Amino acid sequence: MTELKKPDFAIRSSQVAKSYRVGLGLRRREALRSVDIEITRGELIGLAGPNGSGKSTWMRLLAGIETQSSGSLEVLGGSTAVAKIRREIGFLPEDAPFPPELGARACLDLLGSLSGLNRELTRTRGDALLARVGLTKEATTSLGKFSRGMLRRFGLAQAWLHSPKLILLDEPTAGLDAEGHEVLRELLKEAREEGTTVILSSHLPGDFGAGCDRLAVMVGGELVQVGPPAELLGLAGCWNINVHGLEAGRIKELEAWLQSAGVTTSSIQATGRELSDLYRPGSAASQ
Amino acid sequence: MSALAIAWTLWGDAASAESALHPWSQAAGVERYRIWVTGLLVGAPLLIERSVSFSHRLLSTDSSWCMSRAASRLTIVSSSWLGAALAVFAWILLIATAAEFGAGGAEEEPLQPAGPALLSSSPSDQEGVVTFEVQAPRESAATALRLPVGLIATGGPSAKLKMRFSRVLSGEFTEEELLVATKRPIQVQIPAGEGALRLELERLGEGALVIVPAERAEWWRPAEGRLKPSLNLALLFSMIAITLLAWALCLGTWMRPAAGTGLLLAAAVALCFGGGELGEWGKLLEYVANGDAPAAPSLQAYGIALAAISLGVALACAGLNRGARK
Repeated sequence: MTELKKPDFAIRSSQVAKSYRVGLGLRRREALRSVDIEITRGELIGLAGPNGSGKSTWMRLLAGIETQSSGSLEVLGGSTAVAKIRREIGFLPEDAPFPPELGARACLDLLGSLSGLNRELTRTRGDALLARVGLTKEATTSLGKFSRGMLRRFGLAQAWLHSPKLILLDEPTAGLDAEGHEVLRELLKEAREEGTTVILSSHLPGDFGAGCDRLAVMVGGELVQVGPPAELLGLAGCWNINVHGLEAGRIKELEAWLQSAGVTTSSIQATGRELSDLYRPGSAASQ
Repeated sequence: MSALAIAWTLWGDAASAESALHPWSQAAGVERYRIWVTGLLVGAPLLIERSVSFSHRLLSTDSSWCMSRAASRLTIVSSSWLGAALAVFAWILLIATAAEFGAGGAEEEPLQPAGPALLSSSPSDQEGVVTFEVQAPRESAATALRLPVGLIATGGPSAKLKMRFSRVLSGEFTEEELLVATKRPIQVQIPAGEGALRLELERLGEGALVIVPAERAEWWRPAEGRLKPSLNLALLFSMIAITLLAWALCLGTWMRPAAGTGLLLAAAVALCFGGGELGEWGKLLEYVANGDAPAAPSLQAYGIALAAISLGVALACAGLNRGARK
């Protein structure tokens, strides 16, 4: 008789709700109404939703910063009130308000010690991650002098610092440049290979397309849809082709040919090179 | 604010420069007093405001990167308190060092309290003479008796007194004439010998009416070292300051920074004028102004400080937990 193997869940969220008391009359405001989802270990979940839909609140509950008002939430097999569980969670908050007076390396030292890493390991991993996100030269620069994009890069480094088993990324691409996007893609790829569970929230459909196993759509504090990104975003059979060297006059011929082949075209417009091409030294002059 | 504090301090020095006590050590004491008061008035509000704001930040903006870590809230609060306490120690040691350098090389040893003196008035036949029977001090090291005085300016702004302090049995005595012009206590040296003592105060000529509340009389003995005033004061103020800092961290998690700072500064001022083991800052500073050394903190004071710090840190943790559940 074969025994069915129980799925190993990274997150089990059942009817999780969160409300705040606001104003002088302590009026109740619901941030999350009911979130039900089970996420297995090693999954990469995209989280989408309009502003104020409760994405960040749910992430804060998962990170153990706040506790739910009702429902049950199990993260990595336990409660986030337990330090051992929190040690396995990496979190990149939406606003990244790291101490502005600390340098990048000093801040990583502090965060490493708060995560229970020894100083030597923190320094080794911290320096490697700073190099990875392109901040080696700014290792001693105070975070208050960082631009928004540099802070997002630093945020990625601190989220990966203690090799967590669950990584929560709240809008990691906001303010990131093209190189930063590339770094994030590589980090996500590695996380996937190592079996790390990742939840990534974003407003950009492009962030979910490539690597996400499932896309969860949150509206009004509830998950209204959960499924494969290609299915939810209607990506099947939909292609975006960049063509270089085609004269403007011949684009009509191409469109006519596509229509004769029974294909619907929704956007044909002139584009140029990717911005990241321009960042490479001498690339603009050579073309 | 700081300029006002310094101006007040300098005015206070000028007002307290007149002294009926040992003048040499008082000059050094006034200098110490000036530096201590300036340092405390500048540093204390700043440290309190920073600590309240810091813990409020832990609850609001910093929670995202700090509270998701493995370290418990108790660890975060207690290590924050420890950091603030170290900053306070450094600041107070700086003040103490500046006070000692500022005071220069005082040749006279400062005094410190050696317990209350028991005086009972006895009738006197002579007009203008008051006699007190005085129990011998319990501490053999006591060398002087201090009597607080009050003045009622009926016949002038000051009064002249002759003090005669004698041994009842052996008859040895010390005698001194004093011009009492301020409310500072008057001091008389204990005569050699042993046994019960008698104090006679004789009014010389016309002048203000002098009131002697004998129940507040105290014995004084030499302090163990010249650095004693600043060292004991540093210890006492450090203890008070680190207790206040624990409460600053606590209030920051329960209310807005401005409200928390205001409340704690009000409490600090109330402690300054109030009593209790951690209170009477004013009295401590008065000791320094007189060139005296305050007594080292008692075990009870240590106990109260420890309990207050523990309660403050515990309430700060509760405040952070409340913030998480809110």
